[in-house]
Amino acid sequence: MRSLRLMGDMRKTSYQIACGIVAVLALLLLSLPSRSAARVKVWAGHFFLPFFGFQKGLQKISGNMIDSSLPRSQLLNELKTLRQTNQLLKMELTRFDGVALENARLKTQLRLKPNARGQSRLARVVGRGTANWWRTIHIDLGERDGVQVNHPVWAEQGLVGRVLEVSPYRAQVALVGNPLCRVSVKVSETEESGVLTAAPFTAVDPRLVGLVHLPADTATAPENTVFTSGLSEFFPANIPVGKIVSVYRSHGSVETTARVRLLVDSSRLQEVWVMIQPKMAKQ
Amino acid sequence: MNCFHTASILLAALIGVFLEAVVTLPRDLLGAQVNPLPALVVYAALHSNMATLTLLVICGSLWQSSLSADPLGIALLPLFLVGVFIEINRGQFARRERFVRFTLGAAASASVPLFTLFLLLTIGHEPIVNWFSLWQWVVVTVGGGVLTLLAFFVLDWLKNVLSHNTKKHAYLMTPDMGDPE
Repeated sequence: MRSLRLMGDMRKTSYQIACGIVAVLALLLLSLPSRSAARVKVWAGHFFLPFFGFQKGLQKISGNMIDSSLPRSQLLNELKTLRQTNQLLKMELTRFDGVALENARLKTQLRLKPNARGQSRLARVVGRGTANWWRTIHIDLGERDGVQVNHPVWAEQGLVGRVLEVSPYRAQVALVGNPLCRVSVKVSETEESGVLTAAPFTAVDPRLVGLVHLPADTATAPENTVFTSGLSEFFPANIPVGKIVSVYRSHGSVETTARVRLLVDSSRLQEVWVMIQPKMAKQ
Repeated sequence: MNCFHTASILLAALIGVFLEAVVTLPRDLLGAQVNPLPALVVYAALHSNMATLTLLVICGSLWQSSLSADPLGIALLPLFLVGVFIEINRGQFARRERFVRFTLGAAASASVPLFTLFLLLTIGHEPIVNWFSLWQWVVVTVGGGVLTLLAFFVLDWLKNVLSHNTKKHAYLMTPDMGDPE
């Protein structure tokens, strides 16, 4: 009888201790400043390093196997095509160098701030955010590769998002359409500016996002193309983002909203480019 | 109870969270990703002690938030509340029954995202939530139940492999009634 009571008391004490530890820890973690919280996240993320390394190794092995199974003639053909494309692009670049010089000279005359020019690095998508209510991806470039928070991320088709968190070997990217990644954009046909943000329908189709703060008398119409405006501190101008699907005008309102279909299908992304800029303003 | 059992539960949580980030098949097919932690919390609450449960909840929520845009440790309280509720009432559940395991896993998987969303909205975040989230919630609930069955199968097997069962090798004085829990 006495031992039963003793066991009951011990169990009660263990509940009290566990509840105390969890309550204090939860309060502490939720009230941490964002920088300290990011550091703890990076530390916790170190536990996954062997798994991500293993995954990278597997991808490399499977890539090598595919490479070795391709016929030599096909590889030579692709090499030839790539050389020709490279030559064409170099010629284009030489032509644009002149335009860039002229642009820089005009900007100096007008006393405008020059555009920050960075280099882009290819990153592989290694995972996706675990929560269903955010839209993020993980890439295999990190702080050691020069990636910093807020660096823009893009793909061949258009803008992907911005770097949200960085660890030494990995980074988390908030995709366009995530509430944590709002983008200032302009409609190319009308030159009107607005802000791309998550909308209720983004949960159903992640490629559909909302465009808010368009003028009330907007001339924007479906099929118009949306580009980054360059007004944002993080995203350079003229990166394609999406196409207008529909425009919603409400009577008496001072602004118009639109629905935009993103050019990049984030669910199929395998590789992305991170625009590494030398001096990036941190949020 | 031995430290190998605790370590195997923590390792399962680590691998589970990693697979949640890497395997995108459920998200591509059903539109939602299934969380493995509630299933493991159910297992730990029924088959382990309070220390293991607390350790699982702390480590699991930290690991999960390191791979998501959630605030750090947001799932800590929801997971712990669910775990403690099951632990307190563990004597009342027929834990060997598959249906009970499935139901407990599904109920835990259903309540953890609700608590987490409530906390997120309370501290001022704006997660993407609409009517489609109800479908995601259903997928997470059913998927969580299935994952609980899988967790019991794998972790029970690991427990048997890792722990030395003296009764198996001892002389039996009474008819063998099978392995005790």
